Amino acid sequence: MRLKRKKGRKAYAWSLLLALALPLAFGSMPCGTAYAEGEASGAAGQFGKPSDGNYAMKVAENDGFELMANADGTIAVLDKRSGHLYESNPREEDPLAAGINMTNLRSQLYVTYADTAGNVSVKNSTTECVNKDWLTFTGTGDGGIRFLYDFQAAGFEIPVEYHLNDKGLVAEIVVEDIVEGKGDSLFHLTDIAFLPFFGAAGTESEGYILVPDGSGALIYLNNDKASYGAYSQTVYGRDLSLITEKLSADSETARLPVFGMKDGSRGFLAILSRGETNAAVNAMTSGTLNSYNNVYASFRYRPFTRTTFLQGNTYASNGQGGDTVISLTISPVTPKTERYRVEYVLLSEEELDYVDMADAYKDYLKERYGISPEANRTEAPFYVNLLGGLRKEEYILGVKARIMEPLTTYAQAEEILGALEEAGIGDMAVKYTGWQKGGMESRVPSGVSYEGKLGGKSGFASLAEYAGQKGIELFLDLDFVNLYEGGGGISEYNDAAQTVGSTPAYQYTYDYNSMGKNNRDRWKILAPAKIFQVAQEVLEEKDKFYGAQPALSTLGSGLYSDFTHKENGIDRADALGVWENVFTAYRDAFDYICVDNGNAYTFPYATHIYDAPTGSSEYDIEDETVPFYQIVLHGMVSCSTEPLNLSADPERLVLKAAETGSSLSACLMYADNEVLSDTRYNAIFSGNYEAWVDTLAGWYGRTAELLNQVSDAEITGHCRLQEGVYRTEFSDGTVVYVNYTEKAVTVEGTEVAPEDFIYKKGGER
Amino acid sequence: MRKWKTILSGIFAIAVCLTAVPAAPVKADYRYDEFDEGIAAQATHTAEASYNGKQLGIGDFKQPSDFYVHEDATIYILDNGNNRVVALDGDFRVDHVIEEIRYRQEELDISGAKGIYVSPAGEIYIADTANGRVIAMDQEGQVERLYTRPDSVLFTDNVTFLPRNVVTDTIGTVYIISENSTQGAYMLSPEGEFLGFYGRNEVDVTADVLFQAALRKFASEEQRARMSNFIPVEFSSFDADSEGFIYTVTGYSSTPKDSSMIRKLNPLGQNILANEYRTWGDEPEGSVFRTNYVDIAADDGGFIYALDSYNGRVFLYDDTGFQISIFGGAGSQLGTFGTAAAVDTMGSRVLVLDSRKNNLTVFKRTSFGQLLMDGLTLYNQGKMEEALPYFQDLVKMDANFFYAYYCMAETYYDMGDYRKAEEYATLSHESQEIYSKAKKMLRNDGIRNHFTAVFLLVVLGALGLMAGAKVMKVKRKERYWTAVKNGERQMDGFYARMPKWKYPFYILRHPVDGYHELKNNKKFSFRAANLILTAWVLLEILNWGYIDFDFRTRFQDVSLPQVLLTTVIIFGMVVVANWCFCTLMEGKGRLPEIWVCCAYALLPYVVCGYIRLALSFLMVYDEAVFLNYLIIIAGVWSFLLFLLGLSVLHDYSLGKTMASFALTVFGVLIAVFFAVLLSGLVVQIYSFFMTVYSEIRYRML
Repeated sequence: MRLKRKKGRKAYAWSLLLALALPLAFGSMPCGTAYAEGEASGAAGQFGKPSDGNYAMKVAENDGFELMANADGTIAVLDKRSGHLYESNPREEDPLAAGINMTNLRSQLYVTYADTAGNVSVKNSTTECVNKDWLTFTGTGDGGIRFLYDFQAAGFEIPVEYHLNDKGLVAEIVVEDIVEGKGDSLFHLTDIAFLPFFGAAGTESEGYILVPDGSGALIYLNNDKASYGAYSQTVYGRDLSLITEKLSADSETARLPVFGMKDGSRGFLAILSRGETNAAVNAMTSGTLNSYNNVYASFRYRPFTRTTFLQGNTYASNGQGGDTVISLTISPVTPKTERYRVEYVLLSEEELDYVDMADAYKDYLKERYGISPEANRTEAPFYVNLLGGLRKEEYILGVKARIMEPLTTYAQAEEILGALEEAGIGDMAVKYTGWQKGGMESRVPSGVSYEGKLGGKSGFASLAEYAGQKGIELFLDLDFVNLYEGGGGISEYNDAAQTVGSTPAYQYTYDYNSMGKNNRDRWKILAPAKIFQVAQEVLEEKDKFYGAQPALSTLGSGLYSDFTHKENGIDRADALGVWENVFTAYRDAFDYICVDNGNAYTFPYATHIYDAPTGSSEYDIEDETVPFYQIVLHGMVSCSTEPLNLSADPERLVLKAAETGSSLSACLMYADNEVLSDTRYNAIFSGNYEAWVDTLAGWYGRTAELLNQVSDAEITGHCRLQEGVYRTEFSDGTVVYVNYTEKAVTVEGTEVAPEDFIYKKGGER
Repeated sequence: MRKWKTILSGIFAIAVCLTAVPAAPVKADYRYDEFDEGIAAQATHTAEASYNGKQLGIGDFKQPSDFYVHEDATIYILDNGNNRVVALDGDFRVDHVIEEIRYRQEELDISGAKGIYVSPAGEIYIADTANGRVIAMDQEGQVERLYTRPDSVLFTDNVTFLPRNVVTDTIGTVYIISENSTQGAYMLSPEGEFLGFYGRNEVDVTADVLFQAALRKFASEEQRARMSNFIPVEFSSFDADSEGFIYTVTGYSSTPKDSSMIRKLNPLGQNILANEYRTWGDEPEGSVFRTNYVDIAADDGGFIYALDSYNGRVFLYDDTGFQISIFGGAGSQLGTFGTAAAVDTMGSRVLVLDSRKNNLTVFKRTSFGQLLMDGLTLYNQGKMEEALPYFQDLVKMDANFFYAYYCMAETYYDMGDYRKAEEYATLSHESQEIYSKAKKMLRNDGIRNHFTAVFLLVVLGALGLMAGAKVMKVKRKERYWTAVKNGERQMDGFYARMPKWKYPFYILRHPVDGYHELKNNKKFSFRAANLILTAWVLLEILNWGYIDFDFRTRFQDVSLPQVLLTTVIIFGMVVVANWCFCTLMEGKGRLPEIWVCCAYALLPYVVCGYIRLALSFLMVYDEAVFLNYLIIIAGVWSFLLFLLGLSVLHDYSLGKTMASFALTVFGVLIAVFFAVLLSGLVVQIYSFFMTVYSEIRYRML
C-alpha cells in the first residue's frame, strides 16, 4: 500500500474516472460559496437536490434523515422528524473569531504534524485544502460521500466519509487510506481533530455539553468560563507506554468513548465506535476564540514523546548541567486501525437531557454487543478488596532482602469476612489482590500458585469453600500488566513493552512534592502481544481456582501500546483486540468477571466493576457532575464506589451510592496499618479491618434495602432539583432523593434530612 | 562449588532486590514524614465549591488581590481590578457591593490596592499600595480616615511607604506592612500618629554572615559596595487572631530551615514559634526551594494556614508550628489554583482567593480533619488523657500521621504506662527522649521489684565467672604438665606456649613485648586479625540498626556497602598507605604484618563497642556519657597500640613513627581524593556512553 503512493493521486483519479465514467472537473470550486443550481456537472451531478438551499448536494436520505453536502467539505444532516438541521460548521460570520479562528470555524479537520526536530504545527483544512483547491470528493457507491483532503504542503492525504444510518450520521476518517510523507515530506502526522464544530451551539443557545470525565460532567453552554481553558481528555486514560515526566493533580479518567450536546430541544450523542482507543474528547465554550460552544473528537495518529538530550558537560554537581536539546520521537508503528468512526446519534426531544443520551448509548451497547440487563441478581453486593501479601524490602544485618509480609492470609480472610457478616453485611463480592505466590508484586501470573506464607493451596481451598457456603463471590485478582520481575516463561528484558524510542516503558512512582517521577523507583509492563498467551496459561489451570472467579483488574482500567521496532509493535487499537480476546476466553470459562474502574470496552464481558468512577475531575470549565456512567450501566453491570475506608469523605460517597444505585466498597487487610507506611502502597493508610467493621456495616445497613430494591432496575431519570439535591428514578418506579447539603430541604413534598437520602418504592407516591 | 552457589545466589538476590515496586494512586494531599519525605495523607480538607463573580451575579472579578472574613462571617473581597469591594454573606451570596469609595466628594481609585481588613466594629481598611495610603471607610464606602506616610524623624525622604497589608489590634492600633520595608510593621495610633516598628525579621547569624562581616572590616569602600547586604527579609503578609497574636509570613527564603518564615508574635513582638530546627514549606528539591508564601491565616483554634503561590498549596500547622497536612495544588480542577493570592478561614472552612481564575474556593474540613484538629487542640492544651482516644482513632484512619504516635507515647508516659510509651515512641521514630525516659522508669521498676534476685544474679554471676576462669587455668596447666611428663611435648618458653590466637589479648596489656614476639617469631594470625575486622563490621551494623532505640543515631536502613566503606576499606587504605611510606622510610614491616598489627590494635575499640552495645539496653540516654567515655578510652588505647605496633614492626623511634603516621594520613587523603576523582570520571564516561547509545538508538534504529 505504502509503496504505491509514489504514483500519487493521478492513478487513483484515473481509476475512478474509468469506473464512474465521469469527468473530474470539480475541485476548482471557490471556497465557502454554495453551489448554484445546474452548476458543476462533475461528481456533484450524481447527487440530488437537497431540501436546504445552503447546500448543493443531497448525498443520501432515509426515513429519518437527509444528508447534504457542499464541495467545500461542509455537510449537514436534516432531522426530518423535528426539522432540526445539524451542520458541520456554523454558517454565520462570527465577529469574535479572527485569523486562524475564523478559518477554523469553516474546517472539518485540524491536523497536527511534527518533524523530528520537535517543531509542531497545527493547520486546518480550510486554509490548507479548500482555499488551495486541494479538496476533492466522490460518492462512495453505498449512499455516502467521500472527501479527500490533500494537505499538500505537509504531504498528507486524509480521506473522510459520511453516511447516514437510522440513528443519524456516521462520520469516518479512512485511516487505511491515509497517505503520509508525499513528495519527500519529512512531516509526521500526529493528530487529526475531526468535525470540530459539528452541531456547535451559538451564544443564544441554552443547554450543555456532556463530556465523559469520570462518571460524566456537564459544561453549560455559554458558561463564560472559556478563560479557564478548554476541556480535553484522552479516552481510556493515558497510554501506559508513554512515560509521564510530571504528574498533574489527581483527576478522573474518561472511561466512556462518548460525548454529547444539548442545545434546546436539539442535541446529539456522539459515540466513538472505531479508533476510540486513539481518541481524545475536546470541548470549549464560547467567548474567547469564537462565539460557539463545541465538542469534538480528535485522534492521535502517531504517538510521540519528547526526549531531552544532553549536550556539553553532562556532569555537573547539581546533576542537571549542560545544555539540553529537545527532540521529538515519533512512533514508527503504523496504525493498523482501519477507520476512525464517530456515530452521531441525533436526538430531538422536547425534554432532552443526559438520560436520553445515556439511553442512546445503552441502545448502542445492546445492539453492538448484545449486552442485556443483568440476569439472576437480586442483591447489590458489598465489595471488599482484600490485600494478600507484599514482599517488603528489608535489611538483615545490612543485606537487602525482599521478604514476604502477609497482609491477609487465607485464614485471616475468612476471619474478616466472618466479622463483616456478623456485623450485618449479608452479601459480599470479594476481590483478593496479592493472593498468589509472591503477593502483590509477584511475577506475571502464568499459572495458579498459592503463597505458602498465606496458607498455601489447602488454606485457599478452605477459604474458597467458606465463600461458597456463605454465597460470597470470590474473585482472584490477575494482574497481567505489571512486570515486576521475570519468570514463569516471561523475560523481563524481551517481553517488556517499549516506549517510543525503543527503551522499556517504565512505570514510575511520583514524588508528592515536585510531582516528578522517582527515577529510581520503576518497573516494567508486559508487552500486549504476550498477554493473551499468559492469560491462556492461567486459564489452563482453571481447576486450581476452587470455584473462585477471575478479577482482570488492570486490563479493565488500562490500555497501552508497544512501540517496539520489532514486528510485534502494536498500537492501542490492536492492544484492544488482545484485551477482547482475553475477556472472551475468560467469559466463556467463568460465570463472572470483575474489573477495576471499568473502561467501556469491558462492558460486554464484565459482570462486576470495582471502583467505578462516581465523580468527575471537576475541571474549572465544568459546571456539574452527572452519573452518566451509572445511568448507562445500572441494571446491566454491577458497579461499586471507590473504597470507603480510604476516601476523604466517605459519608458523601454513601450518598453518592444511593444516588447512583452503586454498591459500596472497602479495601481491607488483617495486618496493622503501619505495615504499608514505608512501602509504595502508603496511600492505603487505613486498611486494617478491625477499625472499620462496624462503620462499614452501618453504611451498608443504611443503603442495603434501597440498593437491593433497585439492583436489577435501570435508571430512567436523574436530575438536580436544587444545589446539592438530586432525584433519581428507577425503572421499577423507585424514586430516590439525595440531599448533600448541611440543611434539611423539602423537595416535591418530601423532606430530606441534611446529608441524607430518602426513597419511595415503586407504586408508592 | 557450594561457595560459588552461595555467591551466585547472593548476586541473584541483589538483582531481584533492584527490581522496583508499583505505584499507589497519587493523591494530592500529603505531609512530610519523620525523614522529611512526602507521604500520602488522609485529607483534612476537601474542596467544596468555588465562586466567581459571574456565578454571584455581579460580573467577573478582575484580579482580586485580597479578601477578609469578618467575625460575623461576612466575606469582604477586595476586587481592586474593578475598583470595588464585594461583601458576601456566610452562604456565599452577595450581601452588598461598595462600588464607589468617596473621600470628601472625591472618588478614590483603589485599583492598585493589595490588602483589605475589616475591624470588629465593621470599619473597612484598604492598603492602597499604589497610592501609598491606607483607607479606613464605613460599609457605604464613605472614607473616614486616610493614613499616609507618617512624618517622623526616623525616615529619610527615600523611604517609600507602600502599604500592602493592614490589621488593627484590640485597642485600635493600626499595623501596616509596607513593601520594601525591612523594619517590620508600622505601628500607628488610630489617629495616625507613628508609634514605632513592630516585629522586625532578624538576620540569621550564619557562618557566612560572620565571615562577610569580618571581611567588611578590611574591604575598601568600593569592595564594600559590591558585597551583598545582610538585611532582614520583608514580610509578605500577616494576620491577627482573637487573642492578640499576630502571625507573619515571608515569601521566598534562602533556606527552608529559616525558622522565621512563619512567626507568631506576642504583643511584645517576640516570636513564640522560634525553634531553630523548625522547617516551613516544602522540602527543597535538590538545592531548589520553591515555597513562596503569600498569605497566612490563623483560625480560632490557633491552627495556621499558610498559602504558597508557587504550587498553589495550603500548608496547615498546629499552634505549635507542627505540620499537619498540605492540600491544594496547581491545576485547572476544583481545589487547585492558578495564582493563589489570599487565604482566610471562616469557622471550619478555609477560603482561598485565586487572582488568575478570579474565583474564591471553599474547602470544608473532613471528619478526619475535625478529629485531628480536636485531638491536637486538647493535646496542646495539656489535656493529654482526653486527647488519647482521638489519637487512637486517628492512626486507624491514617497510619501515616506519625505525630500521633509521638503524642500517644508522651501521653502514655504521663499516665505511667511505660511499656506502651516505649512502643509508640518506637513507632513514631522521633521520640527517643520519651523512649529513654520510659526505659528508665521500667528499669527502676524492674530493679525495685526484683532487687534481691538481680543483686544475687550479678554477684553470683561474677563469682562464677572468676571461679570458672581459675578452674580452666588450673586444668590447662595440668594438661600441659601431663603432656610434658608423658613426653608428648617439649617444655618450652612462655611465648612458645601461647597459641597464636592469644596474642591480640596479650598485646592489650603488654604491647611492646607482644609486638616484638609477634614480629620475631612470626606469630601473625590472619585468622585472628580478620576475625577482629569482621567483629568490627558487625559492630557497626549493630550500632546502626540494632542498638537500643534511644541510642540510635541513624534511622535509614543499614546498608552493608556503606558500612564496609567506613570500616574495612578505610582500614585497607591506612595499611597500604602505611606500607608505601614506611617501605620508603626503611621500615621493616611487610604488608601482611602491618595488616595483622593494625587489626590487633583495634581490639580494645571493638570489645568496648560491644560492651556499649550490650549496655545500651540497660542504660538510658542520660547515662550515655559514661559509655561515651568508655569508647574514648578504648579509642585512645587502640590508637596507642597502633602506634606502638608500627614502631616495633618497622623498628622506628617514636618520632619516626609519628612522622610515618602523619604521612600515612596524608596518603589516605590522597587516595580518597583520587577515588573521588576517578568515580567522577567513571560517571562522566558512563553518562557519555549512555548519551551516545541513546542517540544512536533514537536516530539510527
